[in-house]
Amino acid sequence: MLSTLMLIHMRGIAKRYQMGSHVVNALDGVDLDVERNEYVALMGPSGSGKTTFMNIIGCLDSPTEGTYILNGENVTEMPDDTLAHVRNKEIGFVFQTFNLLPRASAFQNVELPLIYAGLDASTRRERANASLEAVGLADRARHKPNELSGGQRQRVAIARALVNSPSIILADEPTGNLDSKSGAEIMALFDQLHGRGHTLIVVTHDEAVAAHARREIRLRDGRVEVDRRRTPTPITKEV
Amino acid sequence: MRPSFRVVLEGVRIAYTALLANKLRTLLTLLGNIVGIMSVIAVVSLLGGIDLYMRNEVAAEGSNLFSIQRVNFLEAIEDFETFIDKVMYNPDLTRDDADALRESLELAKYVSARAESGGVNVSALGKSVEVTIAGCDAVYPYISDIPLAGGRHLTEIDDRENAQVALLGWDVYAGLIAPRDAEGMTVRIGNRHFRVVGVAAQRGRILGQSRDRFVIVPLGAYRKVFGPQQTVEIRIVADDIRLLEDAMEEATVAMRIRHGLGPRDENDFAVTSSEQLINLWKSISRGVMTALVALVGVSMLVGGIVLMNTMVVSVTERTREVGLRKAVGAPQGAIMWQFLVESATLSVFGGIAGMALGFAIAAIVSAVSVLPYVVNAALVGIAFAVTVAVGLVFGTYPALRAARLDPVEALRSE
Repeated sequence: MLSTLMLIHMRGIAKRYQMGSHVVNALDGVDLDVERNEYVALMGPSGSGKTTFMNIIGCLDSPTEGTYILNGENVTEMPDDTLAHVRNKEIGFVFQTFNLLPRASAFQNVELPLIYAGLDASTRRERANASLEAVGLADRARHKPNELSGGQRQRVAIARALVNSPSIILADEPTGNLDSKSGAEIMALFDQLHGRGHTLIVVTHDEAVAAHARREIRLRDGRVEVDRRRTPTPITKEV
Repeated sequence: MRPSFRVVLEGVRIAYTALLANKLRTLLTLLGNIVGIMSVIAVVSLLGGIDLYMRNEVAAEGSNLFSIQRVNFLEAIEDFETFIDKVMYNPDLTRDDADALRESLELAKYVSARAESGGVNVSALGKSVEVTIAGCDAVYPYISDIPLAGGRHLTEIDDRENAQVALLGWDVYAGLIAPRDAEGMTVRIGNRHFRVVGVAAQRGRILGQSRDRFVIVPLGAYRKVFGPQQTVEIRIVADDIRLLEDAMEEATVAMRIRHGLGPRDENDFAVTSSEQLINLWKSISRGVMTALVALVGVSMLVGGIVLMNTMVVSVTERTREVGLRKAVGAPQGAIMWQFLVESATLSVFGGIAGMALGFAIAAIVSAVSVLPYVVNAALVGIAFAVTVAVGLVFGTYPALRAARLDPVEALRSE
């Protein structure tokens, strides 16, 4: 079966909200297949359903209709705790506002998914340190988020996303809260991760960010308007 | 996810940080716990001290001792009117009663008559002290444990001859005669002079009262000073502690016969034992404990509700954090435990503060008053367990609220 070879296999995904007397179709029958090591930019104007779509891809939300098979597993109608387990194993989130725990050190932030994965302390230490090293922050492990620059914070968040070796890194406007230099560094890091075989889905409205991706998906009114492969046109320098 | 040590530790750490981050809020939150635990610790420590004192006192007196008195002062607490009637109408007890009982009682080992007056001035060598004067027959050394520092006890001959001799308590000797030798000295009680024949060894203070401010003189000599109309107390030591009840019954029957009471008449005297004093104390302390449990219960309930409120605020403030934790894979149980551990830890902090304050209060009260206190280890354990329980029970609702947050909503919150 083709679907099992795909990392993401979605058919007829719909999400409807009841708003008073009428129904809003946030997503209206979306199909999506993503292979391993793809680099996807998910774009679309606000209200296009891209946030809802991202939440469903990230298993934070369940579709009203349709089928979603993630890494060979049907996650369409899983109960909450099972979905939490799937997120822990399969998805690495990178948020616009970083979402680091303010009172925890960089190391402790990166370690967090490993705690919920139930790993022992020495494995956690090893993996969290390796992950911090991968984003070039091994020397900042003991720093609290407020002792780090915006770019460094986002790199800690990326280290946290990587630490459980997820199938997909799902980034939501990862450069939205950064100055252009830090943003460029983060995109360069994403390029490196793609180069190392990671699968990335970046939700953005920034064409410069989208330009790094190898595939562009545009949503409009809850449907896929554009889905095309492309050669990357790096606007930023490698670091 | 079960609450691994790591999760508990993380919760304790978060609670500790939160505690320091907002000291005033923490203090207000934990006020109920602090006050509740503080009062229970302070009161129980002091009650325990009094309890210990009572036991020691009874042990010193000998628990096979009982008394026949004209009235039982403890009855005043239960029924004041009856007590007043008895004070007015009960006949005096006499030395003859004691002698008759000594002859007739089979279960009694010693029978002693004794009269007592407090606040009497005793003087010697131009100095004067206020003491309790006891008039005793020669049996008293067998009934009360009064070791001697020097000299001798009063004897059968002193008693028979109504000799004007005296045994001084240590404080009386120290206050009037020391550093001189007591040998050959006389003390004046009223307008009579008593030759000192012995000095009792120092017995120290209990409940702040000196047990060395007494003078013992023969009962006959006592009457010459205080008049013959004084009633005596008859102290009886039962032959066998196991037969204490029977000995008391025997003495009661003998006294009823002496007083010519009919089968329907009430006793016109009182038979009391230290057991009764202990029982009275037990019922008082049980009453205090019951009131205390109610008070502490209310205070812990209020404390619990305030704690719940604070935890709800804490959950609301950290909605995004909960969302993030869920996004990276925390199941509901883990979130639930995080907040439960946090609220239990907060609650225990309150309990520890309450314990410290409670023991401090007990120690201070004990230092400035005559009340002793004891530290009760079981109580510390119970206080700890109660505060943990309060934290868990009242933390459940906020923890459930956090655990059930929708991750998408939670991540979107500000």
